[in-house]
Amino acid sequence: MSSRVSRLTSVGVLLGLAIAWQIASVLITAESVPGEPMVPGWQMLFTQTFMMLSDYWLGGFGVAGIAQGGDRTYAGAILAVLSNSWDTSLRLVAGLLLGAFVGVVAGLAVSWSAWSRRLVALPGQVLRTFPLLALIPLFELWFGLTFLGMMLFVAYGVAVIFFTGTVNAVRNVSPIYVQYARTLGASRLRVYRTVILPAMFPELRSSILLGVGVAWTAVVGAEFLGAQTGLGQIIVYSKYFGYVDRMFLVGLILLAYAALTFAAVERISRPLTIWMPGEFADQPAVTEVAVVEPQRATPAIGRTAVLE
Amino acid sequence: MASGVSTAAGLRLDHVSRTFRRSGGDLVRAVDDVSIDIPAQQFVCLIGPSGCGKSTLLQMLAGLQPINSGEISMGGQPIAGPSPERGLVFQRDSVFPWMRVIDNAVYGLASRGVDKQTRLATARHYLGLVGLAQWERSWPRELSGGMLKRVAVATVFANAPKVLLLDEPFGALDYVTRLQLQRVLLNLWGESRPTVVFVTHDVDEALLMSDRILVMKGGRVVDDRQVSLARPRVVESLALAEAVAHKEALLLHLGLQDLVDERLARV
Repeated sequence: MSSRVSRLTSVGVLLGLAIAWQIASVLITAESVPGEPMVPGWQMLFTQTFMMLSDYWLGGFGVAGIAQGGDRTYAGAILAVLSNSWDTSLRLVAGLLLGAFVGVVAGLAVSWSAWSRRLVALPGQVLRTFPLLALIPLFELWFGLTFLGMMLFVAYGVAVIFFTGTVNAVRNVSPIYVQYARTLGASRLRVYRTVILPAMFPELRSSILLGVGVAWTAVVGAEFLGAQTGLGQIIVYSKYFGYVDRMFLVGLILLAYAALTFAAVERISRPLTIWMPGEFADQPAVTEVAVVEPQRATPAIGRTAVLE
Repeated sequence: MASGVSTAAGLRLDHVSRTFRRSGGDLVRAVDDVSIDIPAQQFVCLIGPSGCGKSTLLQMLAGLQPINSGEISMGGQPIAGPSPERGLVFQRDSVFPWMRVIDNAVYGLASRGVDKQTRLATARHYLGLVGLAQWERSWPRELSGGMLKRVAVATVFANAPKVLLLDEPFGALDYVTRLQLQRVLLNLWGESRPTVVFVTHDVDEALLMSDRILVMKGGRVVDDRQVSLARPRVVESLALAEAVAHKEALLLHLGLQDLVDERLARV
């Protein structure tokens, strides 16, 4: 009963924000360039602005791109959103999986043995402290504007989060479980597989949500620097022409995707935490923080891009 | 199934010591030159005031703490590190909360590569003996503290250890649950007869369960008492002359001089 009330409250707050935006769009008449309001209203976003996204459709499936002399159509706009989302998602998922794997393995290595700790712990702590967004130009110079470069950039950003999260989560596993497993005859590998991993998962979950948020930041950030496709690339081109409405619309699309990925993480992790006491009243507390990240990153990256 | 067949092995402690460095920097001899011989199948209780080194000694027997000097051997072989041959029941809850009861019970057997049919049958046998046959699909969070202890006991017995080590296993339980679990443990012990080292601070518990009581104080074994009370023992057994004599001596060791004086004055 109270979960229904809280859900209704959440929907109400969202509706309130949407209405406030609409009111602001009427009250604020400033424009970035003539004809481009700083605060575009919903009536504009879902019609004119959405149609304009067909600019980013390169042609195919019987719908000609703008560059090929085609008209701006809703079909083109839908295809543009889908194809650019697909490219961004591939970079995101590849980087996320690679980064999560590397981060967790490195994090486990810190507790595995004295030698693996020496090899991994200090380099891990050093790499962790590099400011992620400042590394974008470096990755661009190293790898060019390739899929590999963007994937590795996302993987780096995600790996350091998973590394820190894993080191911390392993440290908080009660030693009594490890001792119990060893007196029952479990090998070290088996202790990691059957004790450390399941015991640390609830603690790691916040790092997973954080990592997914950073993955979205990183993938959009990587695309700012001159990717030929992707949602981040649409934002950066829109910025050159002062298309606030397109930037905002793409931001909304990113927000929806981020929310979907958080929901997916929750869904996937539920069977892995079913054993926990009181596991049926959990709140995805990190969602709000992490979704904001891509937007907050925009100005800084925009400036770097202009300097290039 | 291991029922009726004993695989017990004796323990031999030869001038065993363990030294800690306190956070202040001074050295503490937690276990100080202890030499004991425990024959196979004997049920030994280790008793003493808190801080006397009994838990440290048990952890060393389990292979979870290093031995600074001396040697511990089991069945003539020196021990090194933890082994499924020396099962341990902890004071705190050690049952894995992320595994169902049955998966906990088969854990040791699975770790040792016992095939699935055999390990399930063995685990079910012991879950039945501790009275948890109906609970094998439950999660540990659905079980009470006493039931969790039963799971731990069944898990360790399913692993057929040669030596069973228990570190104040029932200390945190209420009186009735404790008596029930003592009965459960004695029944299981009677079935496969491993050698048992049972750490406790409860004099009555020691008298009800053990063949022999070792008293530790300041890291040393200061008394070694044979308990020859007939089994099965019941609460009334504690009123027998032998039990009373043991109890008086043990209470003295535990520092209850006044209580014993008072009782003697009344006699």
